[in-house]
Amino acid sequence: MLVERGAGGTRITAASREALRAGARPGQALTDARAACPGLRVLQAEPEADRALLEHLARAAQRHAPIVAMDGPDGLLLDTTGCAHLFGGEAGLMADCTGRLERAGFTLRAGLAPTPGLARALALCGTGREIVTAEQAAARADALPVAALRLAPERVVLLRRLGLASVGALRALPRATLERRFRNRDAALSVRLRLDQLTGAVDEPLAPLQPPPLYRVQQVLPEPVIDVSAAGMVLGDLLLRLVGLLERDGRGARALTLTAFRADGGTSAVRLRLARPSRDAARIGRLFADRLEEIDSGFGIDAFLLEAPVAEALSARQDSLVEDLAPAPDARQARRNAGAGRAPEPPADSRPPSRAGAERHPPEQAGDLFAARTGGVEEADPLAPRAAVRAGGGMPRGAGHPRRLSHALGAGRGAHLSTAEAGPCHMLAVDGAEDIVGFAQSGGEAGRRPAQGRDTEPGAGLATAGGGERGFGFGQAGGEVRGVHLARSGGVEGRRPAQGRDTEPGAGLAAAGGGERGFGSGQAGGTERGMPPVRGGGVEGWRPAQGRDTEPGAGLAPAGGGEGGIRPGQAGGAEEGGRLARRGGADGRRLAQVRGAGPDPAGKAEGGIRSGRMTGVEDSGPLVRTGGGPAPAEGAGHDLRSGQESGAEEAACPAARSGEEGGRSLVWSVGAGRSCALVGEDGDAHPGPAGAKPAAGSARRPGRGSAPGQGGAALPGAMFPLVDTLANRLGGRRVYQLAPVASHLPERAMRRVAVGGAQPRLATAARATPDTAPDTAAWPEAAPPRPLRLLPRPEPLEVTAALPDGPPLQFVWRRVRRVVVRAAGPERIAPEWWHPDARGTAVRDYYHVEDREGCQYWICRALAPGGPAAGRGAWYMHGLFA
Amino acid sequence: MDVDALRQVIARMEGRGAKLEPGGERGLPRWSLGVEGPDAALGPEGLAGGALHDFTPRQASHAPGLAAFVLRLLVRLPRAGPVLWCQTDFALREYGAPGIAAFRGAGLAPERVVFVSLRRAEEMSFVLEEALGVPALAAVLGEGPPLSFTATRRLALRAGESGVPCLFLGLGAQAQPSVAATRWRVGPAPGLPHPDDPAAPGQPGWAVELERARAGRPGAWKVTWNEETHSFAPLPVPAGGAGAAGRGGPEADPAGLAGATGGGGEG
Repeated sequence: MLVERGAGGTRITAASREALRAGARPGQALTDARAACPGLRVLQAEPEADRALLEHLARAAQRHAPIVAMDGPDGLLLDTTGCAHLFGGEAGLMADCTGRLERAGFTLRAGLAPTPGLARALALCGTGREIVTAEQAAARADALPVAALRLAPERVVLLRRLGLASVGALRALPRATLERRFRNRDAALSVRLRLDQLTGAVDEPLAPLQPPPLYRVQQVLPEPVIDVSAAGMVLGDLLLRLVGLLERDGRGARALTLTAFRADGGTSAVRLRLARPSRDAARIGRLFADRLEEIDSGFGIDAFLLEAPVAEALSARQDSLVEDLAPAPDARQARRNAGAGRAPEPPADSRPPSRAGAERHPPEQAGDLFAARTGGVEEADPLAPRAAVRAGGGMPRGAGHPRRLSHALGAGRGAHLSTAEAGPCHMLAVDGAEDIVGFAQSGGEAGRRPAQGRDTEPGAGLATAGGGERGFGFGQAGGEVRGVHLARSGGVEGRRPAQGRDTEPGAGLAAAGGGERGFGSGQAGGTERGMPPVRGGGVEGWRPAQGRDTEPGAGLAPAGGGEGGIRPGQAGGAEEGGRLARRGGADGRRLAQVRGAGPDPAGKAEGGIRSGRMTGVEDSGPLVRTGGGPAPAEGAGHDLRSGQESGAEEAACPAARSGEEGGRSLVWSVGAGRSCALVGEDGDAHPGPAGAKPAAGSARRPGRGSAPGQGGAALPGAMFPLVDTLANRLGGRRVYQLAPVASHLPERAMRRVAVGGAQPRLATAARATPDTAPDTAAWPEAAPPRPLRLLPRPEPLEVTAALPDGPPLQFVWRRVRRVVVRAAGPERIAPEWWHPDARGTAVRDYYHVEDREGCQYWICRALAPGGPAAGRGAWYMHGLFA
Repeated sequence: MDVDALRQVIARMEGRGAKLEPGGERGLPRWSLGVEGPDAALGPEGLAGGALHDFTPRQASHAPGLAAFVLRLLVRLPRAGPVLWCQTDFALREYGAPGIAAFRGAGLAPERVVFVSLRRAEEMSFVLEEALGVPALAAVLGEGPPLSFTATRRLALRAGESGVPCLFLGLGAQAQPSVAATRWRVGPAPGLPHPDDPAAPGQPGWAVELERARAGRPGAWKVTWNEETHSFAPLPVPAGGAGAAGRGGPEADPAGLAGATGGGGEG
């Protein structure tokens, strides 16, 4: 018997069968129970430990289903949609699942039914191993006692008193009268809710232990193995299967988890992260090979599960022609990549980009892409977008609904909820219409990327084009690439800016088709601006926040955008305009490159304009086109050049074109139509800000354009396998790049960022939190010199000959006396009083000094907290120039 | 991209890549300091791609100055692509973390640099070898305690296969046997005054000694950096100073030597 000390004294929380027989009751005070039965054995309840055990069981249960949620203190809910056949049907699944737990010594009751509510009810009040099919569900539910409804005990008692002993009796009552039988409304509502959940009339979301992976493959071993080297062989197989799934969807894994299920019910996992999405089985296998020894085989492993919790569009990024030569991904991947129509990234350095390579979008590949996506489409659910949006915010709340999931599974796409809904979307990616759906989600996430500071490049964006699934995924991922891909269809956005590159483009986001995204975007972009609603595209740029103001764009593109129109204004959108959307997205990037590269103003300006134009037009153009077929990749290719023309005519009759797509395209065409109206042909229709901005943006750019690299984008793809190897061997934090932070305090002015984009974060972290908004900044134009090496903590100096208000004539650092021959300063750096960790930091006066030997140092003197007048404090060595 | 670079690209596309020209890439300009003396001494290949170049500070405490020198060498690197800069945690603690503002100030885009920090110095060889297998890198730079002879040999071979130059900054002042194509010893030299303010420090100076050059001859020079041309420049001899080819040691003595001996205990 377990007891817990509570407010009303020590009470019983659980009792064994024998104790129950002896008269002990949960909730009873221990003293009362002792009085009734003096021989009770009492143990302290440990709710924390119970919970940990339950979580452990939940993890182990993931071998049966991808979505496992903990339910109350003692229950697990598994979403078994699509999983039963792996165990020989539902009966097999039930037997395997319960058998394992029983062998481990647990007593359990289980139920399997079409809705979580009914499954729970069966577990509570059924036979303990009951399986109910959809057809039997209503009848079985009616036969259950009201206690199965998970109502508060007093309500159950009340129902019984009312003569309503079974669920059937309750359901037979007219709803209105049901409500009237309760004294308060809460009670009535709770009864109704439970009833509806039982029958599936109301969705009951699960909160899965971990977000369902998009891709997973599993291998059960005939016999448990202890030797971990077996994992290597199994892994090879699993990888091939996983790669097949990824390939089918045009995705690449960004994170992988290999979970070993031990015979004793434990699990052991190896997690791998990749700097770039990949589906190169050999390469991933090598990365895993180094780490297999981390698996604890315990008493033997009887199953392996390989998941890709984060998968992103894998399209290719062709950095430059030269890069292809590098030992790159295998040919097939390269081909696919190219096919995905990813916009090329700028070359790694200040060379002008090689345009020939950059703008190549082989049409046949476009076709391939289209085919791949189409394969997945099943049906379009007009309501889906809304649901997807919600899901996109973070955990797939709606995931619990089996019906939806089932499409997903059917379509072969992972059990992700959003996916499910996105099924159609996916396809959409290609065709504009659907994007809509996708968007929302994506938008959301995209937003958060920035937060992470990914400098990286590429894109942060997100495209969401097709996005259904990605919402989830993406967000996390950061989207790199996708941008393009989706791009076409979808939104995109570049976060480039963050990198400091100011340059570019765009932060924006594109929302192409996007209806709901409002939601998403908002977060994401942060901005929000969003108008959420905008159907056609709202969007927003979030740039501004950073201060970047400017430029570029914050853009956003309102492509379709009706309301968007507004937004852009704020955002700055100028470019964005162009960017817009779909292709917009893509273009955005493109433009950017061009610009960055070529410093000539003219070029940029042009870009700007172009974008303006595109806004309406282009957008529609591509999308529509896509509807027709092969367009996407192509679209991207010419955004720059031909985008305009093509856009124009199509815009005129978007609806017509899109007609091919049927219902799906509907939304889109609306969007397109609107945007036309708004933007007009060359963007002037757009009210002031939008029009004006571009020019401004471009004008500024040149100045900065001269900066050499292009941000993370500068890294050629061939670099990423190396980064992965090193990061997985040394630890992810040990391979990094440095990015500037908007702070004048030298120790805060930069920070480490992961190479190649933010590492995807899993699980709930996917939510965007405004506070983590990126501190990232662009490079200051004219910064005072800063030392090459900055000491991790300033080291005290012994100053032997100080001048009252200037640098010392001599100082001793690390026991060596240095005579100052030249000095510059002081440069006064005040603490960032608005920053929480800066409290109490002193104002410092920095001097750049050179000693007789020729070494140059950056030394500072801390001023007393009261300010300069209060006196001067100690000297420190903070950095070394040479 | 000039015509030579394009040819290089074509050569690579045709499969005649780095292997065709193991000594370096003829399509690219020669990599050197841009100062007559050292450039002549380096021989026709300059700082060859596909080879190991060893840099040692004259005293252990000169390591930051050495890093500043090498950073400027990287700015002059004709190869495109990212640079991998691998440091031990000890180097980070002792000589400070790289400040990217300075990278940018010197003319090297920080975005091009991927840093790797090592918990243990023994991992250095692994990282450098892995990195040298990636021809897309412009250069691989290691900063840590001196490598063993065998390790340098392996690095030199790896570098030869990929054509990527490998720069190693030894943190100890003692030179170790090495198969490096060039070996440099770098110490500080009084630099130039700031152009606008004679009392303020301007570009730093370095006393550079080329101890060994496979295709050239040793020599010693004092150089400084010209920000405008992004090249090194000879350091003007201050009136009454030592000769330009001098080791620079004598001038540093009054301030530095006493401390240099004590410097061993700094770690």
